[in-house]
Amino acid sequence: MRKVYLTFSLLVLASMLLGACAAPAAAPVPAAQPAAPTAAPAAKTGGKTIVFAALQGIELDGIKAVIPTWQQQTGNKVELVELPYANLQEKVFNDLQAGAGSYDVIFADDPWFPFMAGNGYLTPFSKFGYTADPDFVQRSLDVCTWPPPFGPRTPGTAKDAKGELYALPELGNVQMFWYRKDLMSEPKDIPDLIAQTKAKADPAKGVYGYVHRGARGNPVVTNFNAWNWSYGGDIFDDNWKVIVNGPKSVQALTDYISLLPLAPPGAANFNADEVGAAMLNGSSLNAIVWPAFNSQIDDATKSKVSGKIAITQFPKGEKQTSQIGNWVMAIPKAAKNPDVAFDFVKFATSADSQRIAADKAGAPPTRKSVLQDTNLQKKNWWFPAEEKALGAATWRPRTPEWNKVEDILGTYLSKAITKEMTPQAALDQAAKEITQVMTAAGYYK
Amino acid sequence: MTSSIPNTPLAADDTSLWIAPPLPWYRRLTGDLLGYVLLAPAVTLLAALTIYPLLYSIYVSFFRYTGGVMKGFIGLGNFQRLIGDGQYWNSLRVVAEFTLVSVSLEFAFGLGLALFLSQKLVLRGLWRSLVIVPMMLTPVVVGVIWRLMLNPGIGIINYVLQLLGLPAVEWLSKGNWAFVSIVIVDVWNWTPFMFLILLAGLESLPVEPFEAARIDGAKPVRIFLDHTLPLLAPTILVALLIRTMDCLRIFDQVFILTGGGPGNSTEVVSLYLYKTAFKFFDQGYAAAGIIILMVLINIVSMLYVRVLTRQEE
Repeated sequence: MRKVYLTFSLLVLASMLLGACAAPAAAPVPAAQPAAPTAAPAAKTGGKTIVFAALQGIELDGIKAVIPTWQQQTGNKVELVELPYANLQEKVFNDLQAGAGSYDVIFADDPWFPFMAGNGYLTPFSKFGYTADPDFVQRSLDVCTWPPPFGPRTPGTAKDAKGELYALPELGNVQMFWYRKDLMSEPKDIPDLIAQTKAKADPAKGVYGYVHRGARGNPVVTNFNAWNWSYGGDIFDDNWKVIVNGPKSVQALTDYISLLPLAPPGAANFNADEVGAAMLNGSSLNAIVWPAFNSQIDDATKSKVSGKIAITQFPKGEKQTSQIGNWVMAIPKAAKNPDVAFDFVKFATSADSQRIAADKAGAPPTRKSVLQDTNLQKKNWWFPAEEKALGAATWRPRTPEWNKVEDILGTYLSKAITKEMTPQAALDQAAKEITQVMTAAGYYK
Repeated sequence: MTSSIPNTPLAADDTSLWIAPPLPWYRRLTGDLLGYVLLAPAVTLLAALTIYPLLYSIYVSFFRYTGGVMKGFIGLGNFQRLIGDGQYWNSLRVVAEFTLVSVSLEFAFGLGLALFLSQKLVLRGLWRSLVIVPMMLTPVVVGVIWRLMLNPGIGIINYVLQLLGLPAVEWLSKGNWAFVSIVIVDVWNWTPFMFLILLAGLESLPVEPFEAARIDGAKPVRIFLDHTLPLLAPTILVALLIRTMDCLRIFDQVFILTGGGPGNSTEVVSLYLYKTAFKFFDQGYAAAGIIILMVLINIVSMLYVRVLTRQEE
């Protein structure tokens, strides 16, 4: 018995020593500079595998639909690493910062872009000899450009520095407004939206009004942003001064909260899927929803109110806008196969691929030619409204500090909608803490 | 010439002429050396997976270490920042309250169940197996299931409450109820653990003191207070110690159920430090927060161990 134990112990020890001597699986490699623009496309090289870090969920269905075609055409392969939102961001950011080059292509939410491009972690597409295709919706190209083509720029960025493309937009997510056309008319503006909601909602009878996406953090910030911007409010002015506690933002939050008693129970902790469900189960009058849910509206297996929901832009206040949330495809500077990766990005964002993605998976496109495709519009009848919304959309502030700003704002919005603080007090405190973050990050001299 | 070699066979212990084959090297290991060799794999594993990360965290906590990049030694700078960080202290307060309430309830229910299921019951084995089912689920699954069950509109909890004529509750979206919700979920999930340890303790108690007490006419409550509890005390302390340490580190269920909200009413310290390290990439600062948490957990553990040692004495 002693011999067995000894042998086992020694084996374990030996295997650990061997393991320690072996090269680590994801050994950091020096940041590889992408090759000069290639005349010969990677499609002709074949036999390579690119690692694609992507979001797990319906947002990826469009790309999944076209991957087999690219693999067949080029002889290359895509190794798909699917991760939930928080894990994807965490792994991608860690990989970029370490320069490990674990991924060749990254599917990124557009608010991550300032952090990724602003810190120099991405490959500019000019290195591949690429120039912007005018078929893309301009606002979608804007979110892939660094420094940002308009609005305030991060400290140290020259005002006249020309923006470069560091990604291409694949998924044209933009907040849309859903309303029950059998129970209310299209609101002509936000006051009309509030008036109709208050008049038609009757929680006692199970008819709820506007569905807040009220969970703390990103959900409530995302939902409130559309209101705030439509009221003419904002988080920063053009000099990064925090203005989120200004009168327009406070009014927006006050009105937003005034609809909460009519919202489905628990809306103060709802996330996107619960908002979609509250509309599709027929219990609520209206909501801000991401287009990924659009294809479920007329699917009787998923919607109890098939044919009764209309999709339009969020009603106008001082201006008509909602939040852009495009998913873009970028290539890390340390990517091991940048040329093949670029070939894949170009293919996945091409008009043909976006047509297939829209047709098979209902993926919202970022190209005008696809949004205006009359054949696709028969099935995706919301495309004209989506194109308008995309064109008028507002982006989240282009700063690498956005995660911290969003967390602070999300905490105090949550306190306001649960009546722990008044709208003014909540936004004052948020403004104070956001200012501290921006000061520490060197935004004010 | 006669041979001088005796004809008698060699005695068994006479090795003067017999050369034994050498023992394999590992057979020659004895005493302390053998002990060290046997311990080596476990110690190496522990060093690689626990001690190295711990020492590295302590090292990192003295640096401005953001986004995986070391940006300079700042001494106690991170700890000084923590002292003035209201969110950090709030998250410690939340987790302390959560631990106190959850562990108390888990102990009460676990002991009750252990006492009940140590009786001779029909299908006792089946009941015992059923009771420990929640413990076998991963915390993430538990979080997702309970998020659905606690949904005020479609969840079964409110449905049952309304069947009983009670008002529906917005479990996860009101500050106090959100806190109550994470306690309920933890108690449901981990009472079986408390039950299992206490049941094992109960079944290993000596029979004689109980028989003597019964013969002397002691009532069940008296027997419980004078015999069961004192004899079970070491087991109780071990169970409380393990659950206290677990509760102080809770993350998964809170992350899924409330994300720390509404406001920061359920933001426990692990969640706050996770956010600091992996959303804001301020790893040096997060490491400093972890060191303080570790010291606090150690103090609590030492208090338990001290009480336990006294009990044994």
